[in-house]
Amino acid sequence: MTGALLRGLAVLLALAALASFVAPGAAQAQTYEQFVEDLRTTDEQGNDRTDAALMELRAKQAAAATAQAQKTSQAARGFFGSAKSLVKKHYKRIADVAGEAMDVIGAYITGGPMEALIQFAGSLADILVEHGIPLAALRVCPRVLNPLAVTACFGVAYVVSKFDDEIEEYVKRRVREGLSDDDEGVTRNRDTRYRGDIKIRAATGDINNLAVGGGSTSTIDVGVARGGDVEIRRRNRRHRIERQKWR
Amino acid sequence: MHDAVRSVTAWITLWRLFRGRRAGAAIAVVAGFLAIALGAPAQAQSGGVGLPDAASSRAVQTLQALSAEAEKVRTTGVLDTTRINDFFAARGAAPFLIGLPRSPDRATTSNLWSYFFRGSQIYPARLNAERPLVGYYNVLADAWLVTRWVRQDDTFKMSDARVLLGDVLQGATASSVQATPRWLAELPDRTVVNGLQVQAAAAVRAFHAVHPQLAAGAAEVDDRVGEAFSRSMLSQRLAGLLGVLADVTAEGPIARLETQFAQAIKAGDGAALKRFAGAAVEPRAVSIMTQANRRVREGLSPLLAVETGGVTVVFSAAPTQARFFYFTEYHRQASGQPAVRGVGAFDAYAQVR
Repeated sequence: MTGALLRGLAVLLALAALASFVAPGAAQAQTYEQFVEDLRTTDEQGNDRTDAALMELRAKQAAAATAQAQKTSQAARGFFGSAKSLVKKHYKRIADVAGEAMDVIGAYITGGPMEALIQFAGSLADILVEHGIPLAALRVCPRVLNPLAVTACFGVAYVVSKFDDEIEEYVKRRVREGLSDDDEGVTRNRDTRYRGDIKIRAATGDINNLAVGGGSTSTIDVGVARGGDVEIRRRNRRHRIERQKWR
Repeated sequence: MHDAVRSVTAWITLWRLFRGRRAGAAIAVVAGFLAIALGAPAQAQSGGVGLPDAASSRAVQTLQALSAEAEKVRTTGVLDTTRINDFFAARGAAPFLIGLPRSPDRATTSNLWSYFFRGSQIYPARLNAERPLVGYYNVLADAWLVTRWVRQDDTFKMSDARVLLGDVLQGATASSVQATPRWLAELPDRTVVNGLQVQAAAAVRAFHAVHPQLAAGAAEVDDRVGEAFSRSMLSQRLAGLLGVLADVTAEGPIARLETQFAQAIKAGDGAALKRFAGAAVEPRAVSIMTQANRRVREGLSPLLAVETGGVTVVFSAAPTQARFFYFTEYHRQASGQPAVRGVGAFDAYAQVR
């Protein structure tokens, strides 16, 4: 009996020894679920332990660590410095346009939707044309000026998929009526010969993308974009109509 | 049908409905965002998976199992990239190589990969093959991590992982590839938003042209420029973008403003958003932005910063997906402090067919 107990104890001791021996290996065999759960329990924020919150925290840590490394590590400074210059070189190209465009946008941002749009688009069009930026990118949605303003700052394009019928009707009506001389923001040009050139291009009758430009001196009158294919009727300084297409 | 598949198909249905609707519907800030505002799920894999009716049950099962594992890899990649092989490698394999050329230390490398995964969307492919693929596409860096998977113990394990540049997949050679991603190199001919959308559409189209979703055969991952070259480019792209982001958002007044913005969006608090943006936000945009699906708003944090002149724009996304972005725009006042100039949202994959 005693012998059996001793043998049993020996087996238990052996198992315990084995367990202590394999414990480190068991820790390494952590599963994904345990990994995430462990992170949750050590989350500094404590009260928010969702996957999204964990990843948000990690994202902030990565940004902070990167900023710190750029400050303190010569190797990191060199690495990030050369890489950032690739990025900033391209940002720099649009700085001038961005600055001017933002001034314009800032002036119209609180205006009434429709008139503000026209005025905004016209002024912006001036700037863009002067900088040689294709207006194919100029797609505006009157009701959402501010999000548009953000992208405008970067050269320009407004990407919107849907428009109110109201807007389509508005533009068509304005075209039918012709743009009046004192039409605020649309065009101050008193020469009416070109009004007939303002057309809505909507092949299927479904305007998905609309570009509206109201110029003052050398610019676009009205253009309509559909599916990235834009035709702009443009009046240049010599009052010659130019038709430009961009895809 | 599994929830993931159901959500994918439901999402696509919603997406197509909205795409096809006549203009008079509600205003969408940008294509597709309204679908999310109505509560459609925003799982990363939903971006590119659409099974035709005739899809085999095997493909559906593969998609179901593979997507779940792929999503976990993405999460692990964000949280601690060094653990990917621990959890997901096939037996005897160590498919994910963490090394990135020129990175000064392991911590930086890990941060760069975390940044890569956080900006990635998942695209399963070759679902009828013995070894299906999952492409992780980071639109900001215009780069793929193409992973190959094998069945093992009732699940899938990763057997191979390679970096593939988006421009290389579309025919660029080592001599024509730039360190700058295309959306950035094309400024100012395109905007940031339009550039990302165009590039994402082209990249996904090219990926599925080479690796169709339901293909059965095996195919090698295009490696004409070599893994080392691809990693070098990826390293530079990630470092450039993350470096600028860190400069802008790691500390300082914009970081504090971004926290306020994210809190308003996460809480779905339209009043707080109006207080934050003032006249710089249009009323209907407020509701769209604050009523988007919770997964789009949850954990919102900056992912891209563009800083030029006196203007800074920060693009944020929930770390669980990198498709739907919010952005905030600041201009520097005479006092030197940033002021909110505009807010908005867009779908970077709006043009993906």
